[in-house]
Amino acid sequence: MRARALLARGLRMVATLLVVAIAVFFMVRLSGDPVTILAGPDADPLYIERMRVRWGLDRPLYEQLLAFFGGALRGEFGYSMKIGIPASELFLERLPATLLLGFCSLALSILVGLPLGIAAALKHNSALDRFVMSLSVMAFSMPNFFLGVLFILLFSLQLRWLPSYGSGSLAHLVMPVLTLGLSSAGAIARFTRSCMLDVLNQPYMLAARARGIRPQRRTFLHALPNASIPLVTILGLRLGDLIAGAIIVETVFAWPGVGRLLAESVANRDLAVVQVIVLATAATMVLANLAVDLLYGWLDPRVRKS
Amino acid sequence: MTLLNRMVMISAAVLAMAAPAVAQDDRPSITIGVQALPAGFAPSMNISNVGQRVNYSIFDELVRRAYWEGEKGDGAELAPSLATEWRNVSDNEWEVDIRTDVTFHDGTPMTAEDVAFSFSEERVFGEDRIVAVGPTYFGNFVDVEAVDEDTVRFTTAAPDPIFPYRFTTTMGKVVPKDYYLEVGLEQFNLEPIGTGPYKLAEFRPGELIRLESYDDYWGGLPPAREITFVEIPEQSARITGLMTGELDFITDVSPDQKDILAQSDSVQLMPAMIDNSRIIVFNTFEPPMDDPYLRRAMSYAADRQAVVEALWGGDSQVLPELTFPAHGEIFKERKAAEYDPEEAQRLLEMSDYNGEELILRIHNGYYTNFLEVSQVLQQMWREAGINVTIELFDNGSTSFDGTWHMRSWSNGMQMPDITHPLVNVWGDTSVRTVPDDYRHTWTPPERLYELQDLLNTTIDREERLDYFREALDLVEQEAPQMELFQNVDYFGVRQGINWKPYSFFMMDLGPNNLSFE
Repeated sequence: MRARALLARGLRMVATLLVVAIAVFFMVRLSGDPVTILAGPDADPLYIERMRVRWGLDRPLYEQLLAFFGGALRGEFGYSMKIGIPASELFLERLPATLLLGFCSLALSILVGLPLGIAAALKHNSALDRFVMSLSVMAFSMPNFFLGVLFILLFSLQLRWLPSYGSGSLAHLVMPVLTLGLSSAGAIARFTRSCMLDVLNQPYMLAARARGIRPQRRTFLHALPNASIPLVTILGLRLGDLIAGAIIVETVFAWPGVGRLLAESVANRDLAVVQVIVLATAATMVLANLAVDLLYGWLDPRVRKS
Repeated sequence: MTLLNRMVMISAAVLAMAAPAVAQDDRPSITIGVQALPAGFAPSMNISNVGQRVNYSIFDELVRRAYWEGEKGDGAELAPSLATEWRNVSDNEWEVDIRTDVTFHDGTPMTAEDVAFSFSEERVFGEDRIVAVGPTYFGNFVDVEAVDEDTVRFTTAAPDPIFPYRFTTTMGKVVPKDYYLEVGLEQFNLEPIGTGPYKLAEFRPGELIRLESYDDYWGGLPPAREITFVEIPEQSARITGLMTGELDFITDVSPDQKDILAQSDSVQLMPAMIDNSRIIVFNTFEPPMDDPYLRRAMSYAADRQAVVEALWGGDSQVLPELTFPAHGEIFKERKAAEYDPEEAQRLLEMSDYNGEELILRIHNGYYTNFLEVSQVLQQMWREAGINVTIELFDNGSTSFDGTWHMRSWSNGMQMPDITHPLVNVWGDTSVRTVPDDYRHTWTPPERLYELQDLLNTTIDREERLDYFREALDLVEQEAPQMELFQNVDYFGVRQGINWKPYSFFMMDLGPNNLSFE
């Protein structure tokens, strides 16, 4: 039974990726002729024609689609029209920087957001609760580009503590991680608080208290595991967003990651690069969803049994 | 001689040989923060502003425009470069003497064969040429051959009054024949070999380009040991990087941020007037824009000087149609487009315009401040009774679809001669005049083409100026475009660096134009 469920799940994943691949293939082509965008307003007609032939854009759309899928099955995702090197190579070069930034900011958001959310729920309607929630709303609603520029002005220009752009050292990592992580921390804190409040009001929590279980034990062994089921969903979404979720932060801090590559490639209609990044993002999202489903089963016996 | 004496002498000799190397190591490495990096380096594939900015350091033109001689980096005279002399040996033949002490970055000597190949039928002007855009610059060439080790002969289809000027553009750069043919254009674009003061050391697309000094450069030891161009899209990060000393230069400073740099003690603000103008091109095929009275009325109704004052703090200037300061006396003679509401009203009454909505398409974010410029113009036109709607577009063929009446564009003066930008923008091979091109906006009268042919083949200077005057009058009457103002780029440069921006997109970081205090 479990094998059949997993097989069905795997087929759905493949179908999702197939739909995403077809959608992105057509969408980037429908949004304008990539060659004329890449070549510029005064480009020579012969140059434009040669580019079309070079990149197979003179062929019928169905042939281009077949070539795209044929290549993808062989692990080849085409060449960047702008740079002239394989799109997958460009993507893989940028991936480590993005993963480093993504995991560090995810860790920061959990380390900050989770305890603050729990504390706010335990001290419901107190000054601490209101203070934490105000901070969370501020962090969550402040646009990344604004917070990033504020950090640059403070930490680089005024205090001269941190480099204002680029990558290569721990110091370079601080501002992008703070910008990305604090915004997520705000969301996680608010979500944790509301999940915890739901659980804290359940009869089994009252029963636990009546049995004389100590508050710490009640919080971490009874409330938190139950509250973590919806929390896992939001963390799964963050995990799925790792690859392309930092476009603005990477641009503000000139962080050489996949998000910036995606923004540039979309602006230039660099088809193969957009396709490979969107596919990778979709695959990450699908895998993150699978991981979340498996975690549900592990956390909640009812899901396992169903 | 004792053993000790010998050892002392040998040590002294070794130290003497090592001395230049030690001196070279003292040269600084500089870092330049740019908004965008080019996608490669081959001159023919990177004609844009970001491309020329970098490849000027890697390659040399056969003949150079002496920008450095102008007070504002806008000198228009010719200077020897890889060519030492050039002479007209018959009506249609030129001979060019080249330097014999030049080596490419791989150490191979530059030969007359390399020069002949760079401008050959095979590469730039033949039917099956490698460089598609070649004929725009060398379309009148019929033969190029190496005569001997330091002479190349060029044959043109007709007398060519601007022959040496043709090599001053980015397309005038010399490439190594054997390597170029061996690796092909696409690989050459990523792994270039030139004769310039710096050679490519590292290229991380979209992140950085690192150039190293080419110490055997024929023009003298390059002043910097290394130059790194770093892509920093966010302007505030570039400005902060410059002010904190992380960066030595920054480019693409917007007009509204220039005062921050001007007020700082640690940096210099350097405006550069570029030989490139911002214009509006009219779609003369879309009624009512097919009416020249309406087009001229729109030109007279726009107070360009007010735009320049308000948005550029007066750093730019309003230009006469198709004329730049580098054109010399004719620039002073022609009048910049006037703001004359009464004349606009008179022309409008003569036109068939009845208040229809006119669509102005602008390329979003492409030209600095252009949305603001358009909004100011829109208001001025409204006051004159002309109803204009602004549409933003991404560049590309689809932006020419549907109904539109005018669009943002630019005219660049590729070489310092009166034929530019005229022949590039309104010549018979221009994308704006070729009927089956999707960018076709105007069909010029036959006389304009005749005048351009005469300009391209007449040697006598006064005659040429007369032809040019007639051509300009014709364009002003027909008004297929309206000049707005000259493009201004702002650079931020760390104090202690002596450098001058030029009136085009390149950054000259060679021995001629860069030194340190």
